Amino acid sequence: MADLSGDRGRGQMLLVGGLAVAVSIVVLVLLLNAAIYTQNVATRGSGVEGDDALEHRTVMVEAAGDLLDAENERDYAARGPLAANVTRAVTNASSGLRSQWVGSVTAASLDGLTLHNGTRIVQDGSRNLTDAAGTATWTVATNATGIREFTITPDRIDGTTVDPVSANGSTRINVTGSNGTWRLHVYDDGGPTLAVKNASEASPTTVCPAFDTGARVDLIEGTVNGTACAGLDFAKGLSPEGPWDVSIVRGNHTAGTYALTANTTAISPNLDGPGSGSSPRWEPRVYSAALDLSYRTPELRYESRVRVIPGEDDE
Amino acid sequence: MNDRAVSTAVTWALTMLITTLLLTGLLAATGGQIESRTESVTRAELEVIGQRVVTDLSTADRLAATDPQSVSVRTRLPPDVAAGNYRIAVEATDAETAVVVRSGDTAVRVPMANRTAVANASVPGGNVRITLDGGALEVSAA
Repeated sequence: MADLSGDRGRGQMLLVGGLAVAVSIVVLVLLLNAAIYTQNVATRGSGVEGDDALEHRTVMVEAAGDLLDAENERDYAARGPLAANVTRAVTNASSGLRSQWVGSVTAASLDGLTLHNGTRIVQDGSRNLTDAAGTATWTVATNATGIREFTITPDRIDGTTVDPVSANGSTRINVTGSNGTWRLHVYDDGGPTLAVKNASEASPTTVCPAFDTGARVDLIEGTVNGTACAGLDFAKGLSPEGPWDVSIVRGNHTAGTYALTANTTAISPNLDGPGSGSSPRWEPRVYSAALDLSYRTPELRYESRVRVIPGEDDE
Repeated sequence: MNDRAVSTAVTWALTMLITTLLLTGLLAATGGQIESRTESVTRAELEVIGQRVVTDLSTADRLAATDPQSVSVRTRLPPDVAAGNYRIAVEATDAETAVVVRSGDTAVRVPMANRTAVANASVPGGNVRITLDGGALEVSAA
């Protein structure tokens, strides 16, 4: 009797003990599994493709900038076809880019495209800096919220004094903003001279001593024949966002060629039209484009609006 | 006869005693082992979770630096760790931004560098969403 109950008690204890040990081992295995899984997760990427989203944005900005440049170069006769072709080109670029993600759960798209019309005003044959009707003092463009590629190449300078009011005064290019006027004077007082009056200053200061007739003055870059000109700082002192008016005073005292691209459609009525062989004339341009881009994956949603302005440094 | 009966009882008692001692020792050893393993596995899990949150916060930070209209990042995380539930806290001060992941007495702090402001937050463990709201990144439960 005693033998039997002893065997049974020992057997029960061994059974319970064995079960407890077995449970412990299972728990340890589960923990080991969790540790292995954790290490596995630690070495994986997070799955959020932030770099791809930025790449999509960058590529679209670059593509749109190049397309704008290319379409602007084609000298359209009207704004409509230019805008239509830019829209089609940018949309095509977006579709082409999107096909890269076909077969994945990524949706990269161009949700909106807004074009801002601009105008290029050009005089490519040398003549007085007057409008097409010969008016010496005239407004080239008004309400421009940006100006780029503004160059002048004077090849005959008649004015002998900086004062534009006197009969032999300088030719003056005025850029007028809401808080003043920036002026560039061109005259010859014994040698061709450029003088600049910034918006905050009372009188003009001579700049670019190396200036000579026939030299190409780049107002935006601040260079003369490609050489940096200290003091030639376009629209200095004006509110940087514009809007600006550009006018020429005493254009009949200087002859030469010039070109500028302004972010406006309000231009002098006395200009020849696009495609005309004579100048000064205006040509349609797309000054800038605003792209609404989005990039979506199950983990990431990224929406941005980027402004593409070819020829300007800030994007 | 009497001696034989005593001998049987003593043998039984001794056997039971030794068996009990052995089993107790074995259970105590495995129990301690499980406890220490649980702690270290939990710590490793919290560390990985913290790093994932910081990685995705950094991604959102990088995207937010491009002045976007909206940024939303979803981070997939386990609902619990070896020791049970856990919480994710974002602690941003002027000096440092850090993500603190805590489960019971175990806490792991992962510091991060950010350019966009990150709002303080404390959310339960599980999937989280990082959004750009009013110029600051916010972490919320997804």
